[in-house]
Amino acid sequence: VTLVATVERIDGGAAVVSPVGELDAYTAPELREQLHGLAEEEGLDPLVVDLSRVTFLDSTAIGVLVGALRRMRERGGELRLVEPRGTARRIFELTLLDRTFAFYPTLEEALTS
Amino acid sequence: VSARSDDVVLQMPAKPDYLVLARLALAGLAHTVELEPETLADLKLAVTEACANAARHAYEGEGRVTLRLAASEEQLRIEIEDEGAGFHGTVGVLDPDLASEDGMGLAIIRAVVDECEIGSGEGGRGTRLRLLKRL
Repeated sequence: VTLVATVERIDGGAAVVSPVGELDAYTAPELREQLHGLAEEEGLDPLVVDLSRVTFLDSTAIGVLVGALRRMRERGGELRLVEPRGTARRIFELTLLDRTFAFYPTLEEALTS
Repeated sequence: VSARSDDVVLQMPAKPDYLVLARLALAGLAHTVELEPETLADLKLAVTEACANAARHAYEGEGRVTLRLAASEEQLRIEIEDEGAGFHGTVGVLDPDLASEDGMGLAIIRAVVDECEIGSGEGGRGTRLRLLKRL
């Protein structure tokens, strides 16, 4: 196992994936498998990825999140992101994808909005 | 030109497994020139994207990528070189998905550095990416 990412299911159909550390072309494929699996589960919505403990994301990681967003939207669901802290958010601005994703300051807000 | 004692030359397998090493080397050098956290974060992205591009398309089998880092008070120079098939020979030809990932990586690199030059490596083989960031 290279990436630590816990999965928690919340009453009401939500699931929270919480990766920790750096997401790059080495670790992102593991996150991709987790997210794709969850996005296929019937009734699961919203899918929340808590990025608050992620310290780095590269374009491969962004690609994984875009893929999960597309899969959730295709079946009428939502992908919600808890904001990464500090400089980890930078790549969303560089790629202009900060306008595409639904960001929430805290996990609590991502689950209750 | 003789290397400064803080310059870094890192040669590693062109595999995603080693991307973290490129970031660690950069972080080490950053201490010697007191980079702003934002600048360091931007450059970590640049070296990761450049090394990931090499890992993705430079070689059909096993290969190596070399990262060179050189800092002065005014600028940071970053060079990423592989001995693979060459950048222009692969992008947009073999696999459209890979090409678009390469394109995104390059766009990110160009966005965070002041100069970005793509050419062939030693002896005309492979790809050499030369980046310059003014401090």
